[in-house]
Amino acid sequence: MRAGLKTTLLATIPFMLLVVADRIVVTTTVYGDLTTERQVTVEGNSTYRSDLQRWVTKMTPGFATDHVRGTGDTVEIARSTVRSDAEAPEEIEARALDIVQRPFSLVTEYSWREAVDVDYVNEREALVQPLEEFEYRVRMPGRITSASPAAQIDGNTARWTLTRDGAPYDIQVHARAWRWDLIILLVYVIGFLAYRVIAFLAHRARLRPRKI
Amino acid sequence: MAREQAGPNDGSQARETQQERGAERAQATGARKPGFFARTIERARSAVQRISLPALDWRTFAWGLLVIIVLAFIIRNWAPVRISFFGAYVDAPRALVFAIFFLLGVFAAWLWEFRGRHAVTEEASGEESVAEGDSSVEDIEAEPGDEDALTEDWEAELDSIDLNDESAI
Repeated sequence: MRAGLKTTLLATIPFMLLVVADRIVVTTTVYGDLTTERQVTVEGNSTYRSDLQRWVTKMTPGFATDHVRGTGDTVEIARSTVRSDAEAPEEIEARALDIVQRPFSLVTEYSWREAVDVDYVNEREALVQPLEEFEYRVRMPGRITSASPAAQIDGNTARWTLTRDGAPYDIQVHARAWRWDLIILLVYVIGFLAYRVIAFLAHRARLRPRKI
Repeated sequence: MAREQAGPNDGSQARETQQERGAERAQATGARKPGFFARTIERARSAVQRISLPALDWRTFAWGLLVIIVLAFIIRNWAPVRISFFGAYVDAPRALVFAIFFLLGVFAAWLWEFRGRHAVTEEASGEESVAEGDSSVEDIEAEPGDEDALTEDWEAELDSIDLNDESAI
């Protein structure tokens, strides 16, 4: 057990990472039981490899490094973590209206809300540095029905291209998923009961004496 | 007289009947072996014919229900869990991790059982060898009178054998 090292899902991007990196992608995958997997992928010039590693590590405390790939002048660093719902920080709201919450529904509804911000060391940096943008993605366990702010939605994935000027962002996503396990279970039980009833009625009909 | 009444063509008719029968026999299945595909299809057909569907009773229903519940449990627990070990880590579905640890527990229990049985078998074989050793010691420690009895029996048997009797050989 590591004392003093807390893994956080807070998406606060260090400003220096925005400056040094060519591309930043934050991907959040939410599963049906609200287990969340977050991966931060950073691409930049291999000259700034050590800076990239330092700032992406600062952005993602407690994450594990997936890979560090260098191809030519470009280096790609990816770090990720998996968190269960019980450890979600207060700034993230993840909800699932499942069987326990809505027992008579065939659909489970999910919602995800998170604040995404850019962290400046001082105000002078904010004034001097050029415009930088980064990509933020959320993958939900069901089909996305709405996303705020307006996003590029592709099935169960929503994608935003965010700029530092618009920070902080209040990201909200709503999704729905059919409860296929419950549907199959109901079809199976009802189908079997129907079969037994029909078989019983047919058996009774065969035993009944026919009129000559 | 029966022959006169029968008619002049009976012999030819009999021959024709025999020839027809021969032709029919010639049309029977030849001795050619079925090919690879024919044999494979025949095997598949016999295997399918041997399949018997379970009776749709409450027991089958219970088994089907159990399968569906287990599948639902697996699907609902397909979220990844990170297992780390000395800095290395692996993300695996939670249900798979459950299954692996369950099988490890089964294996551990089997090893424990195997070790217990092996120990019991060794004990039993050890006791048998000790018992055999005691009995052999008892033979060695047999009273002199017994040995004399055995010798007398052998001598009596030897005396009864007639070496000149060829039938005994």
